Amino acid sequence: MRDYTQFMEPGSFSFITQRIDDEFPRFQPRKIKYLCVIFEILRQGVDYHKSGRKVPPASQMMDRLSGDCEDQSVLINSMFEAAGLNSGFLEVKIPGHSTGHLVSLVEEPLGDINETCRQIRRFYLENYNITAGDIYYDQFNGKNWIIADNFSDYPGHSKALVNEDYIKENGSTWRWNEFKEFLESP
Amino acid sequence: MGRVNKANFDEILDQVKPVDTTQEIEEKKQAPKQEQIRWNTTTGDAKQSPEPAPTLDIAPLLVAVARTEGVDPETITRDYSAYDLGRFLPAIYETVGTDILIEAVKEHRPDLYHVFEPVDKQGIRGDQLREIYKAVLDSYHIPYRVLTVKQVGEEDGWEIPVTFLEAGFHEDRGFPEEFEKGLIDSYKEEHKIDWIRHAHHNGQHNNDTYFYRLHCGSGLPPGVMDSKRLVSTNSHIVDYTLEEVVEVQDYR
Repeated sequence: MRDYTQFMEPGSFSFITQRIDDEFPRFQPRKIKYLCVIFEILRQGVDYHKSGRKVPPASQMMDRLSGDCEDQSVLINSMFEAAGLNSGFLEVKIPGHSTGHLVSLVEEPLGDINETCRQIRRFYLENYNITAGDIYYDQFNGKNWIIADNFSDYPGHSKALVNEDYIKENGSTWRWNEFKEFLESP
Repeated sequence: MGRVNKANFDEILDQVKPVDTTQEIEEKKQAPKQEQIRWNTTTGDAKQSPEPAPTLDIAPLLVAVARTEGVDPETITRDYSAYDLGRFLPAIYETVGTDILIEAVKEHRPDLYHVFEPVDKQGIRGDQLREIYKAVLDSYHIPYRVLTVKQVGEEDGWEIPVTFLEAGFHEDRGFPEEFEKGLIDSYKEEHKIDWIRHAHHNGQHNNDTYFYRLHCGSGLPPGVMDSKRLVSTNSHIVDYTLEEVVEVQDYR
């Protein structure tokens, strides 16, 4: 996998936790708040376009507000890291297809995946009146990672990945159709 | 370490602030409706094309794209057709991406580079990409129109406007059948089958011209009318499956 971490700039977003606390003063746990708000910043504020192989530094993405999955993953992971959340990149493909997809992942921050999922659902219900359903997560390096895909409705929501065949569902279980590589941010 | 555009950040953060969703929906429902200008596909209730669609002359761009796709350009230049256009149009505006498009313009249409130059240097947004394709379509005398459609939430009554660019092709020269065959072949290996089905027969007929929606930069094939995925990238509201045309902004 390409070393996407070279484009990350968490230091440029050192203000992020303070600004989120200003706008969302009440919600606890704070790390769940940061995770969800950062996800919404990317989802609502950044457009998608095929931008080619060049990946802009994360700070430039806040100027452009548009980019492909590589550009967006670098941006959201920079913000996650600035907020004290661990992030990662996952490369997935559809068998037989030349194109692939880069998915951002964020480590569940509470040390209890069930509690993390419960709190994410609580955040969306209390702040947006949205009932979050299934939350998809995977295990890498002995940790639980929540999928933060920009084409989805909330962290862990992976409807678009299912629709596009990156994920295969089988009853209550699922798997990546073709998993390529995982890269944890430093 | 780069400097972050905090004004943009703050603006987005303001968008994602918690809202009283119930109250906002009620306010939207009670707001006066924008006057609607409906576009009628059968009567052509839109500005008319000043002249019939001229002969397509897109060979230079097709050649550039064909090279990147590993296709012998000679097969394109000798006898390109509506099928070829369908086969390669998605690559022009989707697969090969903006970088290749700009390189192709530099090489084949340097007179147009001034349109692309700011984008080349600063990156691009979806609305800017739409302007580029308008310039390309203009330069190749392909008629197009810009539509604003109202996306309507099926259950909650929300409405948002979405703007699309649609390219028009005259019904002779193999449109729509050959063009759509080309589209289907183009997407056969790259996308899901239902996308292909969507693209098929979704050209809208008006005054001997078939219009195909170009989802600039979204990754959707031309002709797809369900813009749900496109909308979902920009908004947390995703249940927008109904739409109606409220404005035709341009037509050439």
